[in-house]
Amino acid sequence: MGHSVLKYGIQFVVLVLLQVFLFGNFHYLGFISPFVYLIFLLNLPVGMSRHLMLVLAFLLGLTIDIFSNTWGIHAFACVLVTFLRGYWIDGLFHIDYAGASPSVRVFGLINYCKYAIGIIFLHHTCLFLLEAFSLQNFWIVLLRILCNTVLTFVLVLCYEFIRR
Amino acid sequence: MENLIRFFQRFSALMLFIVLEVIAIALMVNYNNYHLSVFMNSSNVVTGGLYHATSGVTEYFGLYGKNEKLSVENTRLKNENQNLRKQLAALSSQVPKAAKADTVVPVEEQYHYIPAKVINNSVNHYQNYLTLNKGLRDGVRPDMGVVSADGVVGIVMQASDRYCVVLSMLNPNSRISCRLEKCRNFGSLVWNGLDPRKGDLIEIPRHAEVQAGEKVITSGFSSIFPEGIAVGTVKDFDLKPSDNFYDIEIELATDFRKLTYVNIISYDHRAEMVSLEQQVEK
Repeated sequence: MGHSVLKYGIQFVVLVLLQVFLFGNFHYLGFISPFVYLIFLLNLPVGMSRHLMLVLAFLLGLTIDIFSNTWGIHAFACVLVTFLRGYWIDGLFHIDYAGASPSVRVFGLINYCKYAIGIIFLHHTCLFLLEAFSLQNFWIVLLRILCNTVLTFVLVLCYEFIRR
Repeated sequence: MENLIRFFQRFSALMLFIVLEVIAIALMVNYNNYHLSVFMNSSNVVTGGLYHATSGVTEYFGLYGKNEKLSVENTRLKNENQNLRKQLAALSSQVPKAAKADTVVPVEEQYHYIPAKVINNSVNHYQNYLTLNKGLRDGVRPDMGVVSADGVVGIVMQASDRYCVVLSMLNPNSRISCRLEKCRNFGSLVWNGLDPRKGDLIEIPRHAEVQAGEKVITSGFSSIFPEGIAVGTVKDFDLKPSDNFYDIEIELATDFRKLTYVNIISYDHRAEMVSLEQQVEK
C-alpha cells in the first residue's frame, strides 16, 4: 500500500513537471501540443476507490490549470474522464481486471489502444470545446482535438513500451 | 432514514463527481475574480518562482540569436540618436536665442518603460497568456501595455507583488486599437485563433486604400500604448462586394515563439485621463 502511494505520488509530480515545462512548450505548427499528464489517469488501478480517484483527477487538473492559467478547464476534463473510465473499461472488455493497473501487458495491445484512444479523445474534446467556449471556430477546434489526440496517444504508447 | 443513508451510499461517487465538476465550472466562470486569481494563476509565488527557475535554464538556448538581435537594435538606436542630435543642433542654431525660452515646449515625460523578462509564454492554446518577472513592487499595474523590440505583445491583466500575467495578443479576448500607417484609417487587431504569426485587422472601412505590405501601427487612442508602435504588416486583403469593411490579414511584427525580454509601458498621466473619461461617461 505505502509502496504504491509513493509510486503514484512520484508519477503525479513527474508528469506535472514534464507537462508544464517540457510538453507545454512543445508546439508543432503553432497549435499541436500533447497532454502527457493523462498517463497518470490512464494508469490508476482498476477497482481503486472511485472517490479517491475523482479527487486525484481533480487535483491533477487543478495543478495543470494553475500553471497554464486555464481556470478549471483541465480539472473539469480530468474529473469527467475519470468518472467515465470505469464504465468504459467494463463496457469494452466485460472482464474483471480488479486491482490491475491498465497497461499493454494486462489488456493486450489492441484493447489497450481502444481504451486509451477513447479516454484521450473524450478528454481532448471536453478540453478544447471548453477552451473555445463557442462553436464559432468549430473546424479549427475539431482539427485541434484530432491532431492532439493522435499525438498524445503516440506518446502514451511510447511510455507503455519504455515501461515494459 | 435508512433508505436515505443507503441512497447516499449508493450515489456518493456520482455526487462527488457532480460537486467536483461544479467547482471546476465555478472556477471557469470566475476567471476574472481578483481574490481567486491571487492563488489560481501563474503569477502566484510558487508557480511564478518555478517558472522563474526554469526560464533561467532555457534562456541559454536562444542566447546567440538574442545577442545578435540586441546588437542590431543597439546600432539602429545609435544611428537614430546621432541623426536626432544633428537635427537638434541644426534647429537650435536657427532659433534666435531670446525666443527659445518661450516657444520651445518643454518635453514632458509621458511614457516610461519597465524592462521585464518573460518567464512563461504560450502560443499553442486558444487563449494565450504570458507571465513576466515584474510585479506591483516594480510599478506594474493592470492595463499597462507590453511591447517587445519588434512590436506590441499584449496588455497586463493581473499583477502580484513580483510577477504579472499578460493577456497576449494571441487571445480572442485581446483587441488592440491600431491604424494603417499611410492611409491612417483606424481598426482593431484580433487573433484568428490558429497561427501565432498572423492576426486580422477588422473595421477598416470600404473607402480606405489598403495596400499589401503596408505597416500597421498602434493608434494611440488609449492610455495603454503610445502611438506608432509596430503591430504588423498587411499580408493579404479582401473586400467582398456586400461588405462595408475589409478583411485584412496581418503578419504580426512580434514573433511570440521567441519572446524573452519585453518592456512594460507605464503612462504617467493615466489616472488623470481615465478619471476624466469616466466623468464624461457618467
